[in-house]
Amino acid sequence: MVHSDPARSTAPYRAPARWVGLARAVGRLLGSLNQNWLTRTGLVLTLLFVMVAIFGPIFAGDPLKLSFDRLAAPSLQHPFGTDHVGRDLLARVLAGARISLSVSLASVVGGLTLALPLGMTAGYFATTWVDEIIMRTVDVILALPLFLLGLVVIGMTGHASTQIGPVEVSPAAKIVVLIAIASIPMFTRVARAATLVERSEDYVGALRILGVSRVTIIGSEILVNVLQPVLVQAFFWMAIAVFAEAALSFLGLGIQPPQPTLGNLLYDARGYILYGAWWYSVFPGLMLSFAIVSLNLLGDGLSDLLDPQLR
Amino acid sequence: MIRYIIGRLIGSALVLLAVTALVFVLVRLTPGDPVGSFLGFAAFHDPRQAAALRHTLGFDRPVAIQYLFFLGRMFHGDLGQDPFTGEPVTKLLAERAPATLELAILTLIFSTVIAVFLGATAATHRGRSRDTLIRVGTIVGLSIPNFWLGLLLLLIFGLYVNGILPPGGFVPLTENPLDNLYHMILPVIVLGLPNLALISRILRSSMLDALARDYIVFARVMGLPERTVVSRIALPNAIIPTTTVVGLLLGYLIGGAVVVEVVFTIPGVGQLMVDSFQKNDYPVALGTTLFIATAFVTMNFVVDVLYAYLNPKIRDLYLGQLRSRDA
Repeated sequence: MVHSDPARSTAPYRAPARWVGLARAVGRLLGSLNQNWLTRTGLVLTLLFVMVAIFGPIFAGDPLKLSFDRLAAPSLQHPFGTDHVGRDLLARVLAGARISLSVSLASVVGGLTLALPLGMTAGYFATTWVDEIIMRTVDVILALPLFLLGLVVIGMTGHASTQIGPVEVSPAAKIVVLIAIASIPMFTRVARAATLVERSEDYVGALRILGVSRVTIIGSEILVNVLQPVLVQAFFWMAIAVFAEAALSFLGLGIQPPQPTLGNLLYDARGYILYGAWWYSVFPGLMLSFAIVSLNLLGDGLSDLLDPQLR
Repeated sequence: MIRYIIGRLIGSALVLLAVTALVFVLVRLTPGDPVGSFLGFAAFHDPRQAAALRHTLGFDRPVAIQYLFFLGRMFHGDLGQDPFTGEPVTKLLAERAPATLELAILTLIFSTVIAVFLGATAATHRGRSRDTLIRVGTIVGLSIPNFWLGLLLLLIFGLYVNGILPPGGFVPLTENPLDNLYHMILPVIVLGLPNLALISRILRSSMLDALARDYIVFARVMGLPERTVVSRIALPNAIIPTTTVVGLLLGYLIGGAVVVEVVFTIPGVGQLMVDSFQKNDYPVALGTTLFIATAFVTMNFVVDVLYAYLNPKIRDLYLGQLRSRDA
C-alpha cells in the first residue's frame, strides 16, 4: 500500500479507493490458495461447480418441457434419465444447481453485509457498551435453533409469497433471508476478533493521529485485513446454505415445483424409489453433494492456511 | 457455580419465550386465519359461524392478549387441541416423543463412540495416510446431505438388497426391543454420519493440542506405554473441548431428526411437525415447535453446565465478567 509521507505532504491523507484494497485482499487470498493440495482440490472442484451452475443450463435444454418418455432410464438422449412427467433430469439438475448457487451466494453476501459492519464496529469499540449491545444481540440469534426456525418460519408462512406490509417476499427470498440471518453470529464473531487484532496495530494509531475519521479507518484500512478470515467462513456458509435450501425443499417447504431445485427433485424422487428409478434420486443428490464437498474442502484448506496451529 | 447455573437457566427460559413469541407472530403473518382452515368451506358460506368460532377460540382478541392466554394455558400443561382429530396436542406429543428421543439418543451414542475412535486414530497418526484418509472421509461425511444418504440406503435396501435391513418403518421399543433396534440401524447411521464426522474432526485437533503438552512428554519420559499415554492421559483432556461441540450438535441432531423421520417414515415429533405445517394445523405446529425448542434449549443448558463443571476456567471467566459488570 502506498501511503504518502505525512511529514512532507501537506495534503490531507486520503485513503486509497476502497476497491483497490478489496481487490488486493481477494488477490492475496487467491494467491494463497495454491499452497496445499486440499485447497487446490477444493478450488478446482468449486470452480467446476460454479461453471456447471452458470453455463450448464444454457446447453441443457428446457427443464420444464414435458414428454411421454416418463421415468426413462439414462440414455444418450437423456444422460440423467427423465422424471415422472418425462422432463429431462439433466436439465433439471443443472437448473437446480444454478438455484443452489444463487441462493448460497445471495445469503452469504446478505449475511456479510449485515455482519461485517456489526462485527467490525464491535471489535473497534471492544469492551465498550457498543460492543456489549452488538454481541449480546448476536448471541440471541446464536441461541435459537436455526434449522428449526427455518422450518417454522417457512412452514408457518407457507411456501407461497408472503406479504409483509408493502413488501412481497418470494419463497426463495425467504430462504435467503433466513440463511443470511443464521450466518450473522459466525461472521460477526470472526470480524470482531480480526478487528480486535488490527485495532492495536500501529498503522491504526498513525491514521488516527493524521486525523483520519474512524469510519474511514474501519471501512477501508481495517476492512482489507479483516476480509481474509471472514471469506474463509464465507465458503463454509455457502456450503451450509446449499444444504439448508435443499433440506427445506426436500421437506416440501422450499422453492416449489415445477421450478426445479436439487432439494425438491429429491422430494419428488422419494415417491419413485420403489419403482426402480434410481437415476431420479441419485443424480440430484450427487450434484448436491458435489457442491457441498467442494465448498467444504476449499473452506477447510483455507482455514488451515490461516491457522497453522491446526495443521 | 450456582450463580452460573441460575444465569444460564434464565437465559434458556428467555430463548424459549422468544421462540413462542416468534411462532405466535408468524401465525398471525400467515394469509387467512386458522378458523378458515378448521372450517374449510363452511367458513366461506357462513360468516356468522366463522365469527362465532373465532370468538370461542379467542381469535378476535388482540394478538398480545392471545399470546398471554396461550402462555397461561401452556403453564397449565395445555397446548390446545388438534382441530382435525380433536385430540389434545400434549397427548399427540407424548405419543410421538419416544421415537424421536430414541433416535436422538441412539445417534448420539453411535456417533460419539465411533468419532472418539476415529479422532484419536487420526491424531496419533498425524500426517500419515490413515490421518489423511480419515480427514477426507470426514469432510465427505460432513458434506453428504443426510436426506440423500437416506434415500440411497432406501434404494439399496428397499430395492436391490432385500431382507437384510428394513428400509424404514418403526416398531415401538415396548413392543419388541430387538425389532425396534433393528429398524433403527439405518436411521441412526444416516443421522449420525455428519455428527460423527464433525466430532472426530474436533477431537482430532484437541487431541493434537493435548499430545503437544508437557504432561504428555513427562508421561512418556516416565516410561508409560504409548497406549496408556493416549487413552488415559491425552484422551480425557481432549474430550473436554469436544463436549461443547457435542452440545452444539444437539441442535443439528433435532433438526436432522425431522428430515430422517420423514425419509424413514418413523412416527416421531418431526414427522408430526412437517405434517402439521402441510395441513396448516396451527395448534399442533405450535406444540411440536415448542417441544423441539424445549428439547434443544434443555440439552444446551445441560451441556453448558456440564462443561462448566468439567472446566472450572469457564465458570470463573463467566463469574469474573459478572463481577466486573457489577463493579
